Amino acid sequence: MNKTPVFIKLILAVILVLGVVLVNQPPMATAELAKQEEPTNLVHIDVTYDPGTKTYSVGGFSAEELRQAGAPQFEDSVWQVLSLLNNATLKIHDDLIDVYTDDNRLLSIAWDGPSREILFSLVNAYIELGEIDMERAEAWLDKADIEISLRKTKELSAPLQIALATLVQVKVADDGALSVEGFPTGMSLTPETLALVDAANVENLKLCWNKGVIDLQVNGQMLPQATLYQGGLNVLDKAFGLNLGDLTAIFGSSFGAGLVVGDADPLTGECVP
Amino acid sequence: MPRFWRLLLISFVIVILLYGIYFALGRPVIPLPAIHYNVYPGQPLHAIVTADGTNQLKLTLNTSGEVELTSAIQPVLTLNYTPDSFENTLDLAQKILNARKTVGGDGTTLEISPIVKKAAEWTIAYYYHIIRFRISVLVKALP
Repeated sequence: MNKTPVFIKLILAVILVLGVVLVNQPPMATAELAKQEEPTNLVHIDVTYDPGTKTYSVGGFSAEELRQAGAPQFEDSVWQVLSLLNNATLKIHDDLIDVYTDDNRLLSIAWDGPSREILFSLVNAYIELGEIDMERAEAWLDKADIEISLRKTKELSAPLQIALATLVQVKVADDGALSVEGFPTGMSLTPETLALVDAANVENLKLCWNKGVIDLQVNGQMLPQATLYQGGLNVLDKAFGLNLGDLTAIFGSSFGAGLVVGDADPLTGECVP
Repeated sequence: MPRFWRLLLISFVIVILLYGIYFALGRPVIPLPAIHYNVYPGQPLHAIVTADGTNQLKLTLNTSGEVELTSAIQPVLTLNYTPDSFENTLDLAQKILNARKTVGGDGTTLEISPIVKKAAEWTIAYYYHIIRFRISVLVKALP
């Protein structure tokens, strides 16, 4: 008589707790996913130049940093032209290319599908790198937002802004040669690396970088997501003497690449966070 | 009912009850005491720990799926995992290790027993889904 009610109380308590647990469970994900905006490939490049010292800065990198990276130096004729301008801006957005000089619109060109097709045909006729893949070119340019600005000032240029939704297609041929979007790069994997990739049976790799967050898939299998912090990376830079320089532009950017080995189909898709 | 079975049943019910409460609270991470580790000048870790001037690094494993490396003033690196991504990493690591042995001309291959592998995966999944802990290793650089 005394024992039974204890059990009943315990069982009732269990039922009560389980009930609370079930009530606290989030509802099934029946809500429709919010419709995402169509992906845009955004590239904003700011260039500042000083004809007096014949130096220039691009995307937040100083003239000295660019020189160390092997950036070209311009001839006097180029500096003479640049010294006549205060600023110039090229904008590619939607179906238009706009060019501004000294804050006045200089020209506007239609940049729709048919006009791009004519341009690609012309480029195909004159370059020797290989045929432009129209479908890929459209994937890159259809929703592009590109802005290149030139400013005559001694100031450091604004950091590069890159947000590429379209995956850069990289291919490793059987002999290790690397091509990007169908164009040969002249670089190739070492025989040892290629043998390692073959032996490990790595067929494809998808890497997405989004302002420090790295998502990596190997053969379609998701690996843990890594987040790098700019301040934290500076710690490693100091510790190992990596001389990484100012990484503000990289940490403000997002882009991704899909790498395939051999004759596998190219990776498609986006790196939209 | 014999005393043994009664005790077993009560224990079982208590465990269910406690876990139910833990679950209802959203399976919070249970912090465990930090492990302290000192490094001395000359040790490989010393340069890393002293790099931002705070002489301290903390590695935190949160079994709900996060590994975080922080200095005293800022985060350095975070890894977010799920049992699936952890399993994928193990598979890839095994493939790469074996590939290196093959390429290096070493005839041996690293074969992890399926039982050991499953045990590791289940352990990760258990501490990811069922009971979550947080454990930290605090590395201090001594002058």
